[in-house]
Amino acid sequence: MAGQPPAMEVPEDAAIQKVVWEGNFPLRIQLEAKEVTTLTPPPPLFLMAPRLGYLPLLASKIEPHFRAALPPGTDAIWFEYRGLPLKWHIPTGVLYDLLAEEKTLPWQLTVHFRTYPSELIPIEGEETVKWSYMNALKEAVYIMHGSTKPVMSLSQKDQEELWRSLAEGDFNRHTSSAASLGVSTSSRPRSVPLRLYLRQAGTSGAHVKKWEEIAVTTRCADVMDSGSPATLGGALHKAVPHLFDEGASNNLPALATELGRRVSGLEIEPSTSRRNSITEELTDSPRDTSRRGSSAESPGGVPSAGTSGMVRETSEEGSGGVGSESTTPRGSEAGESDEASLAKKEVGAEGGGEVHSDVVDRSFPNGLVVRIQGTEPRWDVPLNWLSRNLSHPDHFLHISVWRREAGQE
Amino acid sequence: MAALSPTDFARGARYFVDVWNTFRDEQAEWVEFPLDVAAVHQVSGYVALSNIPAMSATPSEIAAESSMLTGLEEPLDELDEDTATLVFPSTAAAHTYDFHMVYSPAYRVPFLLLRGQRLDGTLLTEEEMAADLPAQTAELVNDGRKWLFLTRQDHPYLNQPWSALHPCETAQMMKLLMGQESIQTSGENEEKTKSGEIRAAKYFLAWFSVAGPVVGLTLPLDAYRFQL
Repeated sequence: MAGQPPAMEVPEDAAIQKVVWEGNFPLRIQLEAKEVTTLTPPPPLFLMAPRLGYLPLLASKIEPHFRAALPPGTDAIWFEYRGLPLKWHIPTGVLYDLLAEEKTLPWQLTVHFRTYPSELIPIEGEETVKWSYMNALKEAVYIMHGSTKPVMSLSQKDQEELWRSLAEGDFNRHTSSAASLGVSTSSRPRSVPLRLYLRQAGTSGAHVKKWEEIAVTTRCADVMDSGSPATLGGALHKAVPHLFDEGASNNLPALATELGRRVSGLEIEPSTSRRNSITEELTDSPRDTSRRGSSAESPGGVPSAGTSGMVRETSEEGSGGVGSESTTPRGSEAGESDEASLAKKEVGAEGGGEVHSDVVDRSFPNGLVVRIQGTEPRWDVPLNWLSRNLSHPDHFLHISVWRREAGQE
Repeated sequence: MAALSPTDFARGARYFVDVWNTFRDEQAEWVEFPLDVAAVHQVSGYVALSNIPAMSATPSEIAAESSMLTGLEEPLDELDEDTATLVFPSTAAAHTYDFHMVYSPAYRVPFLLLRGQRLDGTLLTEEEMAADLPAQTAELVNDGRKWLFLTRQDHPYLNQPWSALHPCETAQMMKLLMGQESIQTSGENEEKTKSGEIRAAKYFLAWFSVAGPVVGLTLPLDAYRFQL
């Protein structure tokens, strides 16, 4: 990597996407005690699970290990974490972000092959998983482009290729077959598809015991917010305002209001920052080791300053409102071909949106924990950037949200 | 865009519940969310039709259905009796169904979820449900298109697996049904006005006139005589 030109190259997006794609984390899987028919239970199985994958796709690696110990009967594989049956249609990495609050690794799961629980969607082999993915993809593409046509008009072969490459974790193949969707990742979508997983207040101290404690909801988030690029915080504030309102009863009501005000684009602080690391940390997964080594300037990890078009130097005296001259960015998002009518607005605004002071705390207020792809991004990360780089192959940005109770951590 | 806002969904759905309860014996219920749940989902509630006995459709009933939907050739008084009893306790009525009409925030349209149960409360498999559904529907479910049409997915508010009549083609269909009217989504001003109210009610009924019969739910033609 030596001698590479200065950052701010568009291809960095692809590099980040590749890192995201390759993300995986270790599982320790033991067989449910009631299903052990041998005198000594089989030893637990350790394996790496792709973050973007789905649990049933691991069946072929898991089943042989436990087969000898299983009672006679038909298999229907399912997984459990601390008594909670895991919904297989939620990507494995999202389940981990949502349920493993202390991020313990390896993640300890129990596998079952019998008594499939009624709270899980019945599964008839990989085909069920594939269609669950295809339907989610269709939904996301509809949100982004107002039509399901890109997905519906895929040939059988392309569709199969799109799925196989995901099931096999082949990034390059998936990227090229995703290109056959005809949905350009560089053009700006109408809206950003969000899948929000909200752990209800008051449950954050304990483990999730029932799915009723989690609300899963789909949102179409605006790409722009009052003329500025929408931020993660702004989008969440709009999507689930009650999470922020409840903060008023907490010790930091002012911060919640402040956040609401800032993210709505009404106020932009003068900039003192040159380089902002987008995420405080990347993930716990081993995959980012190499990445950390190579991004010396940003110990924070992967989506680092300058690696995308979204974080760039801003004017020193930047202040005032959206679109004022001082917020004109130094670089534009090369590779983005926005509709002419909107392009100008966005270019002006994108700079403005990022003029924030480093002294401002960019973490979420009031103990809100927001996890995407194993990271806990700051609230001021532009949503469109997150969507481009941290979305799942179903094109949804899966976001886990809960409130860390006072005294926790 | 032939879309429906969450507010209009609630208005249309409430109107539908009134109409249904006027014309049908089994009572439809508007299930209002508690405030916190409503805040999370940005929808205030959904329509529930519970414990509806399984229909067993015969070709003649299907024909009656489609004539009710498409043609107005037949005199109304002849149709009333028949269509009102399309869903009826049959010998196979050991199966009962719950139908929920919910809002899809992604497609911005209503969609239908259903769940069949045996008398002992255990859930029916997809195959068993297909056998209870109108013949045309069963055909779709059993051939290769089943994944695109009737899919198992989590109920968006209850978080348990239900079968969904897939909403991805609904907007397109509503454009056809509502014509010009569908293009005028009620704006801020219209939200509270009479015309917005009427549009929401019309939209919901028009949607139901197509989606309902797919799972054997019908309203008599009188119910579609629009008065608001």
